[in-house]
Amino acid sequence: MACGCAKYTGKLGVCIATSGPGAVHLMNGFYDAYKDHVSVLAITGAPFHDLKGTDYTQEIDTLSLMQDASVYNQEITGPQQAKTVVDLACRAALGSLGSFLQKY
Amino acid sequence: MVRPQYLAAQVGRLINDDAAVSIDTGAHTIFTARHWQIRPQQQMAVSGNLANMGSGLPYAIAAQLAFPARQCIAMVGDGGFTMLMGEMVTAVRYKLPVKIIIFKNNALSQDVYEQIELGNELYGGDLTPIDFVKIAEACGAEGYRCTKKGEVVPILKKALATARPAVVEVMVDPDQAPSSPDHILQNKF
Repeated sequence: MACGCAKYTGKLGVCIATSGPGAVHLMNGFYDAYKDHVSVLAITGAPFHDLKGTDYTQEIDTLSLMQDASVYNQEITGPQQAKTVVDLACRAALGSLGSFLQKY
Repeated sequence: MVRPQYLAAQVGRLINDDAAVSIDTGAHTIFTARHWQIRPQQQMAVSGNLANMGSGLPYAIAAQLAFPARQCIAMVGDGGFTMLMGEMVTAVRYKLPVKIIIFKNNALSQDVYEQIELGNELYGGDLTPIDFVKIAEACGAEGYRCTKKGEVVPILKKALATARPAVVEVMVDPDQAPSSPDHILQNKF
């Protein structure tokens, strides 16, 4: 839906999902956006930091999963970083891929 | 049965001047591309390079959210629609009057034609038939079915006129190849 919205409006499409399977479910739409050069920001969950690397429920390597289909790919671990990273992510998405559809 | 070319052409004639048409991936993509005469204020979205099946319905939902006042159509095959058909409930829940036109041939038709063209043994191209009218109704949307050419226009008009989400299941001829321009007369892929 985020990819479709971006294709129709030429604006940034945004989608959210939980960690693990949620992120995996995003991938088709995310790759679609990447391969058709439209701008999508995907926000996914991650395991609680004390549980990272422990094979915890719904823990996957989200950064590696997203790497091939993204122009900006970063893990957020704190609120101050979140502000900057989201700003950079939006700029990267809108700036480097451009708009798929010209508005009439 | 209805010829898919005829269905695409009739949808193209009956939709509004500013309709947003989302196209899924499959044989119907080719029929729609070839037989829908797009007008200047209309918009189209398709999964171009990735060509993933299932995106037609979510695209239409996205279009309806982005353009609440416009007519938002999805042209889908039975294979692609099945992959994300649970999203019909999303359209119902948010009162999005999307219109889903299903080219139903109980087959992954484009793959079947690719296998024929390659000279391969046909494998995995047949689908177990699904009653999409019942699926639509079970989700709280309207469901319509067309099995004959003469029913196409009146049923499309009815479905396009409703203020609710609607699914139109059209039984299309599986023996019409989604031909490239130089193969149309030979009816092969």
